[in-house]
Amino acid sequence: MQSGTDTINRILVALNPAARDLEALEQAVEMAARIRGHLMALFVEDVNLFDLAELPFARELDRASGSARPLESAAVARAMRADAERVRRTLQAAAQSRQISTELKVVRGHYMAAAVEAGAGCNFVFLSDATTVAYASPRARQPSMQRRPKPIWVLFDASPASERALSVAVGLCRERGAGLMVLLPPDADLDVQRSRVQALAGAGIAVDYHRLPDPDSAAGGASVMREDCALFLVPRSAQDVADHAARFLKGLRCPLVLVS
Amino acid sequence: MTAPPPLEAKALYVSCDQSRLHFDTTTELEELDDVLGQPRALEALHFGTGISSDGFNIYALGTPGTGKFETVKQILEQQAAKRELPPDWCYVYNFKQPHKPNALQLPAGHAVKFRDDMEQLIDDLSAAIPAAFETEEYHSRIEELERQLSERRDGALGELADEAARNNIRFLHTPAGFAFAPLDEKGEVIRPDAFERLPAGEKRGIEHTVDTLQKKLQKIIHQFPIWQKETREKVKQLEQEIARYAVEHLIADIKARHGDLPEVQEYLDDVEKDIVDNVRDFRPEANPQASLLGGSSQPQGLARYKVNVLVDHGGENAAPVVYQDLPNYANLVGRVEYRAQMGMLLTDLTLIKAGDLHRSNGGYLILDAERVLVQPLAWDGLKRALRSREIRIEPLEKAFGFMSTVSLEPEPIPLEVKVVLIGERWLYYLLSYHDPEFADLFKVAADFDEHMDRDGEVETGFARLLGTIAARNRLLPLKRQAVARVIEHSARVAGDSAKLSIQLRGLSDLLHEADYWARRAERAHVTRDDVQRAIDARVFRVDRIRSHVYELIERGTLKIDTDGAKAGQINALSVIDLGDFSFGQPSRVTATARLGSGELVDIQRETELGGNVHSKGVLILSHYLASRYATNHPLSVAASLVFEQSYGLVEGDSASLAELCALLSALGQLPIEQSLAVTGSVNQLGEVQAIGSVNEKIEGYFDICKARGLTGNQAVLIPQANTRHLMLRHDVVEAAAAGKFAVYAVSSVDEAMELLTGLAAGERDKDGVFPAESVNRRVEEALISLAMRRHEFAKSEEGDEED
Repeated sequence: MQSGTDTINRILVALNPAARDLEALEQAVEMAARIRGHLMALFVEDVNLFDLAELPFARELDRASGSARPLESAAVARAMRADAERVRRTLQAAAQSRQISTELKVVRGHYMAAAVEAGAGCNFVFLSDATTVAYASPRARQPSMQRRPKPIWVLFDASPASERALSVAVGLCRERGAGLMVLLPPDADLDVQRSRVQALAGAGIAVDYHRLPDPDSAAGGASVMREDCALFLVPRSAQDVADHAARFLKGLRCPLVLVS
Repeated sequence: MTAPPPLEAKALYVSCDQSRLHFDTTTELEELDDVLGQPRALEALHFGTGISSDGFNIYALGTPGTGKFETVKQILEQQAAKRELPPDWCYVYNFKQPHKPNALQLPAGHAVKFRDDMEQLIDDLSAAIPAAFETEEYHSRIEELERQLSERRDGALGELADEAARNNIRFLHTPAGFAFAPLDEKGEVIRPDAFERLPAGEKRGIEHTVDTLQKKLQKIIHQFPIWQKETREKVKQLEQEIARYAVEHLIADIKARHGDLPEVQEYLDDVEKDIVDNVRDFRPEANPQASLLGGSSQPQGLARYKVNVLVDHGGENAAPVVYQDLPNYANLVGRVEYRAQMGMLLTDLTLIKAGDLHRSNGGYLILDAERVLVQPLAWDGLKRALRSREIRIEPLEKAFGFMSTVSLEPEPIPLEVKVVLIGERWLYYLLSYHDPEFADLFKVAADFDEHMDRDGEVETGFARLLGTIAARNRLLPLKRQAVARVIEHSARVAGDSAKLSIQLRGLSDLLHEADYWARRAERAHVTRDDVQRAIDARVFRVDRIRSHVYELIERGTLKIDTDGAKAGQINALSVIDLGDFSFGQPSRVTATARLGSGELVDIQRETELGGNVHSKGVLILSHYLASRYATNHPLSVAASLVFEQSYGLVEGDSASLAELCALLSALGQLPIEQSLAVTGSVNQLGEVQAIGSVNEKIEGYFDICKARGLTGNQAVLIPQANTRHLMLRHDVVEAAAAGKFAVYAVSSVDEAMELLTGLAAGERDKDGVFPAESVNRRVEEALISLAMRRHEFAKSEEGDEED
């Protein structure tokens, strides 16, 4: 088998400013540090918001209070710049503290299209759902208790990409002391795949197996969402990448990583 | 009248009759458990400690060194042994008003056990609570609750998003919230120009739909805090359930150990409820700063369950008898201390410190009255506590009214204590006069006498007292002769041969010093010589000034004649008191007389060097002269009296006899024997009255005479009333016995004048005439002569005026 660290060296994290959390970026930084890869952050300013802001009745409802106020292009642009600056500072700090090379690219467009285009030459593409309506609390987090680390999910279809995904997932699980959840295709031979996964994962990792309900299901992410998840690694399909990603992102509450 | 004979030597010193001391050394004597010679004070102390009514606290008054403290302590300890042990007191957390810690009363000896149990509970809780919240089950249930909330919110938003999608509208996240955007036929957000091209009705429809969706979204957002609150409540219930499970068996364990104490049971119920209600405070993540601040590993909130034992009577078997050497406000009523932490002053109930009122509660408190009064607010604090019958700890600055900082206000503790103030008499009378509350709060006066009557039985008891002091201080036992000498010395200290001084401090000091000299001489017992040496050595150490004064007299700097005879000049005797030592000093008093109109000038008074009592004595003289010698003619004399070479204040009337004799001598030109010295006061009738320090005065004159050589003519005239006070030094007594020195006791001026002049004083015959060549005749004639001259002088002046 080919060593992962020899070939995996470019990581893209596509940031959706509307999601307002930097979880995908934090995870990407961690992965880049682990595999000594180059991290590129793609900050996508959603063109839909700018279009909406031009409409005469455009209103924005405050996340915390529900009060309505006009949505203006200038305000949207200011907010985007502020978010981009936040990302830049985070990246800069990560580059210094984790000794990784980074770059930031800001584009205006549609999130998925921009991510697919920029991630063409990357080994890992971190995505978050740009369309989900998941609620992000505006309140500051209260000190939370020490919880067990969330498991890492990986879709294993026996492809070379899924083996790389598995390899990276195993490494992360070992570092975090997290469990590994392996999602198998609906038609996979469970025993055979288990053996392969075990052989690749090695000893000392708790592995749990799940099966994708339907290969054409649009709710792949949702099935993962019902369980706890820190990261979902999916081998990049040869089919249309955007559709492939959207299929797994649907309802997903953790970053999705497409692995080449 | 016949001049009195000199006093016999045995009258000058009353020796102790050793035949009444039936022992060889004091080791044969039983220790004296009772107090000697204070019947009045003892009665008052027994009464004061026996009565339990309000305000019957005790003031033990008397001069320092009379054994007030030892006696009071002894009596109180006897009474305390008969009383039940008072309860323990501790402060615990007040769950309703945290700044007012509750006082908890526990049976004697239980407070420490309870405190230790609570310490153990805190230790156990600090481990049990985090452990309970680290279980897999707890995490799963919390995550389930959070997921429920998340799904509820996302579900509501998702349904709205679906409804929007059915209306060809997209639900979008904006940087600060949400928005709805209409879509074009390609499924993208419609461009503004495309929207403008739409028919007006379609535009209004879109706007209406967006508006409707926004209102629905607002309703949903408004539900979010409610759902969050519901979830928080569920989380809290879950946490309480887990906390209760973790702590109830620990609390039950302590409750079982203190099952007989309802107050403790009640408090522990409160503790359990408080832990369950506030369990988040006790989880490690609630106090992340603890390690930075160098705090304990225990969760900070648990510290509030600590028990502060204020008073512990464990291991004691009598009610407390407490003496406070430094009775300041805080030491009396307690205080709340603070600890500095990160630049702030913090406090908690464990920093409440007991005062002596707490420690003596249920027993007795002994205080030095003067020390209480000189400490700021201590007297007020003590009175307030006694008046209110409770101990309220208040910061000093609050008591002063200076500041009103946030601090603890510990619950007052009921007070039942008997306070005994120890102080001098003047202070007692001062307080009685100036402080109305004093009489209400200290109704029992225990008056300690400085002396007791000297008789055979008392001397035996006194011997036991000496033996007890020696034994308790590990001093050498005293031989019988030594005891006798101490008894005689005590009579001398009392200034009365029929009394004994019970200045225990001085007595104890004397025994220690005698013990020192006995040990230096390698003796197994203290002998009479050791006692005498101790007395002499003590005098020697402090008599530098006396030696200096005597040296001045010896050199003639201070003029004192001890032989010859002179009119208008006499040796008076005064006493210089140096506090712990006093000595007699002869002083020359002179008088002059001339024609005048009855003025008697006291030069001391004119120069403001005479005290009021001295001036009174001199004024008496002029009236004595007038009433005795000038009843039928005007007192036509101008006389003056002065203490020669006296440059300080002269006070007292003990020289008035000498001054009168000098005056009579000057008037009658009667030479006075300078080998004699005189002391005594005199009244208008010419009777001689007692004075103080008679022994010191006699010895002072004796020392001067002895230095110049005793002639047998030298003597001191003292008032008859002072003879019982005589306890003179042995060398004086020996000189008197050998006829080399004498002491005369006189009862009238006439007796004194006879001794001083060698002439009879003379009594008026039936015609009212004094005998020829008598003192009084000479004086009267001199006064009549002056009166006649004055009359003639007045007539000649009248003639001159008529001319």
